[in-house]
Amino acid sequence: MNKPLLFLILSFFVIGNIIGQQYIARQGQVTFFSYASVENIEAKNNQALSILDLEKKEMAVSMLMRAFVFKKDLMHEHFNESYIESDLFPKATFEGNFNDIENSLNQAHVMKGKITIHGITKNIDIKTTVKKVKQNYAISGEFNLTVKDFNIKIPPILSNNIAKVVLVKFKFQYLDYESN
Amino acid sequence: MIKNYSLLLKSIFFIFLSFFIYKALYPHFFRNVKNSNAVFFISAKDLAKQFNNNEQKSNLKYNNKIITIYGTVEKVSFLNNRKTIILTGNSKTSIICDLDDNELIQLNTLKKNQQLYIKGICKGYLKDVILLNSFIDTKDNYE
Repeated sequence: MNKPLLFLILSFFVIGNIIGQQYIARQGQVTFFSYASVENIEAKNNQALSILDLEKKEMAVSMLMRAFVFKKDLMHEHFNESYIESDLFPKATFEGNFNDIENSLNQAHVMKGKITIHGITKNIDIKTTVKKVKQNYAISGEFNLTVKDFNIKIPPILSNNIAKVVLVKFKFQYLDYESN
Repeated sequence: MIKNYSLLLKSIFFIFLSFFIYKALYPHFFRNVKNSNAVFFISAKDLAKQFNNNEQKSNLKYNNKIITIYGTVEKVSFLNNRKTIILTGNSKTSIICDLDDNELIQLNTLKKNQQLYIKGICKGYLKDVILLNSFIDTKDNYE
């Protein structure tokens, strides 16, 4: 076999391998909880998008704020119209870096990254656990967010209804990018 | 006697007032997708293409509006205990339809590539276009 052909075949394998290192979750679940003296609020988003790039050791998340579902429609309305201003800032995003994923399977570790909500970007450390199920990855974790950090203004009259610090939990089940 | 009469009047007034507030706010709080008419009727392919070409314009046009989409089933999913139908758009973008809790269709009865009409509230676009509170619609409503 001549050398150029061998090189070509080899490079195909290498390229194939790089593409194969990307995983996607189109129906990630992100839930937030606000525990306050007057009421507890919980909202779920089941359509968060995440891409996991093993080559670059990056995890990226994007979600639509309007896709959060609340128990009460009034909460949904306040959240989108008054607090998050979803028309102006329709998405929340996260970009994080991880170390060697294969060596940290099934154990909690901290992922460092940047989170953007309501147009404001903050550095954040997130406790995450990576699992591998049938060649595919699943990442879950939780973190706290301080409402004030993201320039979200809660009127004083409602300050007892909404927690100052909100707990966020997430769960992503990834599939191979190519097969999805 | 006069006191009772004024109390009665006040009560009637408050009953009417509550009724009007309820009527005025009801559509905002209890918007029922199933019984509402879709504002737009569009194929899954066209919707995907419009969002690919101009996300901002499509957001303004479709977000938070009830739309009916026709397309073919790419796959169904029960992830996170939700019932989801994904309609084929193009190679990059599909339409993710999260079914309303009141939509009782058995997803197992749907086949891949089956043609469907789905009505739901458009929430926007990430890689895919996202519809919530979706119901299976029928073609008859549009002919």
